[in-house]
Amino acid sequence: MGRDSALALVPGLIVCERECEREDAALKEIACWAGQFTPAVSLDPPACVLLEVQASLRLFGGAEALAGRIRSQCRELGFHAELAGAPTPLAARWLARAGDHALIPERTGLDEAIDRLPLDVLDCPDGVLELLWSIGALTLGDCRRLPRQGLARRGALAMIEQIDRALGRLPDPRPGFVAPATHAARLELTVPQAQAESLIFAAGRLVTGLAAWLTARHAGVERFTLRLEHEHAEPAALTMTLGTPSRDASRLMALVREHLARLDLLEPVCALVLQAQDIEPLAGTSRPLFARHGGEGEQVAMLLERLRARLGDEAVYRMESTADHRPEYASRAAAPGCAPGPDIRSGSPRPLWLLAQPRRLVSRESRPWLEAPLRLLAGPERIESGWWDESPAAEVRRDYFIAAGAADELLWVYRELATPQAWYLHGIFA
Amino acid sequence: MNAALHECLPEHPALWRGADQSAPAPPGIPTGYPALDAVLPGAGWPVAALTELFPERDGIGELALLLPALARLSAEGRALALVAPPHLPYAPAFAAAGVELSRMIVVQPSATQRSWAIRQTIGSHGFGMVLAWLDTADGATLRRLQLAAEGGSGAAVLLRPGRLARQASAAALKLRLEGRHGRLAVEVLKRRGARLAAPLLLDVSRPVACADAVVRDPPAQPAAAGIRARYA
Repeated sequence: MGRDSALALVPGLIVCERECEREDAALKEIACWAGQFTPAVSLDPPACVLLEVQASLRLFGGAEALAGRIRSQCRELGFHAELAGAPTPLAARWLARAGDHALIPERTGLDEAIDRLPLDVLDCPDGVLELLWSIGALTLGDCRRLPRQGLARRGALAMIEQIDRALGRLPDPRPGFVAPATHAARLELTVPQAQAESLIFAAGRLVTGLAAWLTARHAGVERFTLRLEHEHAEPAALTMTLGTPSRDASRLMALVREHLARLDLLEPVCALVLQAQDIEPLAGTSRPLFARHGGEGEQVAMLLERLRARLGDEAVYRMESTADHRPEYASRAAAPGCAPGPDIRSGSPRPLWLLAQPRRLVSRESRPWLEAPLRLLAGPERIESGWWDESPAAEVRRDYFIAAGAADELLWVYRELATPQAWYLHGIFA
Repeated sequence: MNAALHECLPEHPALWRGADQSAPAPPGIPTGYPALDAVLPGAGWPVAALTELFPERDGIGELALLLPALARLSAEGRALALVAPPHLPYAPAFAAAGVELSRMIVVQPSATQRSWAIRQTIGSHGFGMVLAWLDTADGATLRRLQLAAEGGSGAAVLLRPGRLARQASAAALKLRLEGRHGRLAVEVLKRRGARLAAPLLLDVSRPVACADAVVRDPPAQPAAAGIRARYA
């Protein structure tokens, strides 16, 4: 019936334009996501995805458990799924299309299930369907009992072949779906949003799809970009870096949440685009059998990502010794994940704390003073180095002493050799 | 308690003696100082609980007290964290004390993000020991840190200024540190169990023994200049 007749029958009818490219893209996205359950996925347009799960049943705890999991995760992705299972792909598709949520494990139960199905699950021209209805064949069982030559003469033999394929009597090979090499997903928001919480919810759907695609490809992502598109302003891009490659959806979501919380939006966002850049093959982790502290490394890596996302990359570092006699250059900051540097030790004791800038001390009667005269307990240790360095303050010519203060705290002080021979505090022996 | 009575009464979990520790505590991380281990519940730094240290000043040996535990944990392969240290940690000194530098992470947050960073680091339960520096904090912050530490398998040590030692807090262990003639006086302000009467005097590792050292006068004129030759 035409659109006008439909609106006349039901005045409050909502009519939407059908967008075939978006339907195709959505079907491919679901097929990518389904790759986490089984490697054998096939597309059956316009709205069906076939998964061959016999080999995965044991891992997921049985057909019921797997079906429940697929249904709930599909709901998180934003789609409503009708599921059915059968030994042949066509039978499974028909059962799902008819709304029969059966999970038939073997061929023995298949005949009765197929016989019950109405005729409109068949893929045949309308004329043939009307013919069969007029004969009185309302279900597939009735159709099967009709004589073949009669149907062949009326041009309905193709139907019987379909039923035979569904019952497994004829082969039904399907092309496999291969997940694309790159992943870029786009989500249009129906209402432009400016609040971080609603963006987090929308980004969650994209991240779920990304995690599932990574599972299908047995890979992990190290860096991905989330682009926020506005109507008039330039799109804003957020790049999120992980310490170690991962495909854990909760870990990726934690990073996205941190970045979105810090973002200042000038305009409402109308679309989100998620792109994964650095993909690396990532096998599943095997845990040692008796490790007590096995999971700590992973937690430290996740903490470092969170700290760097909020505090900045320079705020989190690891100490490293360098081969330099000048104390301020002997210790430097290195990135946490790098290999450890050389183990360099000087012969004489060094303080645990170094002041960022040496603090000038008042000197009375050629003794250094810090609230009280400091008593020099050890020294002098002469350090003269850095004459090759071009910058003026890089040359160091000092006599270092260990001094004790009024409350018996131990300090590392030095006196410069050059005039005016001032005293400085450089470190504290904590 | 009367010695005869002490023998008669059995060691029963339902029997509580006033002088004892309240309940068998989970084993702590050995401090490296047997005198201190003897007075701490669990014979070490408390695990999955907050410890507060109140040094009177910087430089009396507050980190030297923790160094044996840090060296031992890093040798076992566990991670260590320093959050918001007041000065720059000096790598050669930590390496000389036996700490594996590859296992130690330093976090330098800004002043506003300090308590967030400390809570995140303690709550991640991924570190053998977390050392954090915090100045003023109200009771709610300390309780949150204590809750964050529970459930983990590492120690959380908070170093705060000595003047705040008497503030009530939710930490499981509070120690006040003071330097006395080259030794460290440790006063146990709070622990799970009975209160300790007298402070302990510990010999923490110092670069030079204060009592024996000869106090030198600084040389009046530094000796003649050494290798320097500047080619301008």
